[in-house]
Amino acid sequence: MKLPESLLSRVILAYVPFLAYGASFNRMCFAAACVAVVFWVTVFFFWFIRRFFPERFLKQAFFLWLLAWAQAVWYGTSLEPWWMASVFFLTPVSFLEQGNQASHVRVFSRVLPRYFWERFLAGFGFLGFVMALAVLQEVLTQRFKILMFYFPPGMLLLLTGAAFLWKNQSFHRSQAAHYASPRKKKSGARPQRTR
Amino acid sequence: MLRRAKKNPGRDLRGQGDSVTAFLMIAFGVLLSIRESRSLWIKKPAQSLSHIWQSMGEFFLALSFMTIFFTAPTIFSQTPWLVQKDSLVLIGVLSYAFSNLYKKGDVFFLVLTLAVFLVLLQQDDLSGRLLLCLKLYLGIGFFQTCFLGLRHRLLFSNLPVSMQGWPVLCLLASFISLVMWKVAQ
Repeated sequence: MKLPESLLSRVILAYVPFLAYGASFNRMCFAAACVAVVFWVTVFFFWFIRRFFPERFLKQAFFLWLLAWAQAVWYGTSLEPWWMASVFFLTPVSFLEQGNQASHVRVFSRVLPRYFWERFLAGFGFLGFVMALAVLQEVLTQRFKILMFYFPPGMLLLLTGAAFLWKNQSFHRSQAAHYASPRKKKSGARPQRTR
Repeated sequence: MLRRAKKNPGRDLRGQGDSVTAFLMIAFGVLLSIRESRSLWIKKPAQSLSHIWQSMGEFFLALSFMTIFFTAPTIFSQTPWLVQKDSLVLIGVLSYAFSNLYKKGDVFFLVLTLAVFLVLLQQDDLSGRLLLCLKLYLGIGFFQTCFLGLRHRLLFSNLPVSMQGWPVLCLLASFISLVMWKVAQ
């Protein structure tokens, strides 16, 4: 599986299937909650039960797991399964790498809480991201009567704004400037030849 | 019976079926354009155009086959529970088989699964379903073609650094979906 690992890419790709829920605020929030909950359940339980599957069939098992969840939610709540793709995009690449076996990590080690905490934050961040965009969409359509934001062009425009703000955060810019600046020469470094 | 107590959960969607189809067409177009295309393709748009339409042809064939497969039993009096339209797991298994057959990625599999589900949900008769398959094929292919062309043109433009990457990709997708939205109306 070749997917970008950065959180921005994962969140944006995970948001794209939400274009189908665009016209309904409640459905969108409910679908975002479903994505977050299934994502958390997946990274928690699948991490432990993955050892029961042969490594070759790990990806297939993951897809079956996703399909079963989508089917269950469809039966239970009549929510269309477009959100299934969001869980897939939100899941990090390393999750299904064959080298990462749960048996290599002790249950009571410090690695697990940090791992699950990061995943929890990712799911929570996605939920917050979708809610923020949904609220903004509601304000723009209800308050300012710009109905375009109910539809995919408007929603993608909102996504453009979010991506722009995310990319141009002061933290990211300072980090980029740090890496772009020329490094100082060490005192023990060999001097360059001059003519 | 696997069928749920609530008889037809997709009925309320049918009223707004066209808009859901258009929304999903755009979403699938974005996902396939960004995740299934390679950077090499952008530099050679003439060659990649044939790749895109070949890929969409395979998508259409798989979609049509699965639509017929899931529709055919309903022509007869008793529908086996296994091939009812609510059986998302079976749709997924078949889609996975098709994506492996065509040597496609995971995004193709996901899009195919959801597209089959959409087609079965929106239309009742075989001719309507096949027509919807054709619409999806043309719509997603058109979106990918426009996206590829615009990305290729962007290679020769002086784009500000702050807009490079995801912001400009989302903006392009927004413009193309605006055009598609107006054409669909």
